[in-house]
Amino acid sequence: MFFFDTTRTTRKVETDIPESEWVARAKRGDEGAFVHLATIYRPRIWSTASRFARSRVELEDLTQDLFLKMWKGLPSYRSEAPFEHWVMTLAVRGCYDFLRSNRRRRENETVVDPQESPDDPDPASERDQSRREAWETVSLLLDHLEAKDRVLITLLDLEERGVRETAALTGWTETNVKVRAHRARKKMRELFDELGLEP
Amino acid sequence: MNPDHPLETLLHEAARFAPFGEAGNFGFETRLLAAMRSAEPTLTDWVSRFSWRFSAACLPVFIGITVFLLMQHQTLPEGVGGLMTHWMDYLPFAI
Repeated sequence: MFFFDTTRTTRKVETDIPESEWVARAKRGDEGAFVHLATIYRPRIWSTASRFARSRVELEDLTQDLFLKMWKGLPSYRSEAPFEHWVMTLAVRGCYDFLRSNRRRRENETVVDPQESPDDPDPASERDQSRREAWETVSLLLDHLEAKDRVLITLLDLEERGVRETAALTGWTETNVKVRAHRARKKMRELFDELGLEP
Repeated sequence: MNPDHPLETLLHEAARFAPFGEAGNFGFETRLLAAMRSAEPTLTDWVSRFSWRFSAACLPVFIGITVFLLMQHQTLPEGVGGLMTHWMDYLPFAI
């Protein structure tokens, strides 16, 4: 009989569906399946993208653009690689493109003081305040780096990923990652000393 | 890396700070769905996506035309004038 509401049963079954099935559905053009996947991966993408955006609004836009790129690129996804890796690769490369395309505009902008921004969370403790100040200083130094170097420092030092993982996400060789990161850190240290900053 | 430089401490501290807090979920799904629908591929997107396949399909046609022209040119009178006279015969109207 079809007079009963089957919504509850369906929902219970859907929670047991493996990720590969959600991916397969999304690849077939199921928008709901893709949104389901996007909801799962959003915190990770948000966390990575937040290192490149200058405001919460910009971050929201960047995150949405990254998901749109994934939606459009989904037919090219091959199931041999883990879906998470594919998602993060697209996110990192999307952030890199974002940095490159906005570089000129960003150079002309003044650094927004997050304390003045109403969107930012209030520092709950002295430790939070110290971390916020550290982030502001690092952000200032990162602004002086090339887009490629900035991506590397973000992945290696701020997201604390390994060299191999960083190389896989960016598509650059491990040697290239090591050499560029070394030079970028050197440049940051020099700039740090030159500006007379304090930790 | 120079572990003694203050920059390392800074990076370590900055890594533990989330610049814009956590992602809010309010309206996320609706906004994403709307963006996905408004970003549906247009005709131009489809053409550009399959353009390389069209080029592969055009190759035999291109080879066929080249062979045909070469065969035709074997019986052509020499010079540009002869070529023009020959091709004018293919036009649907007289010049």
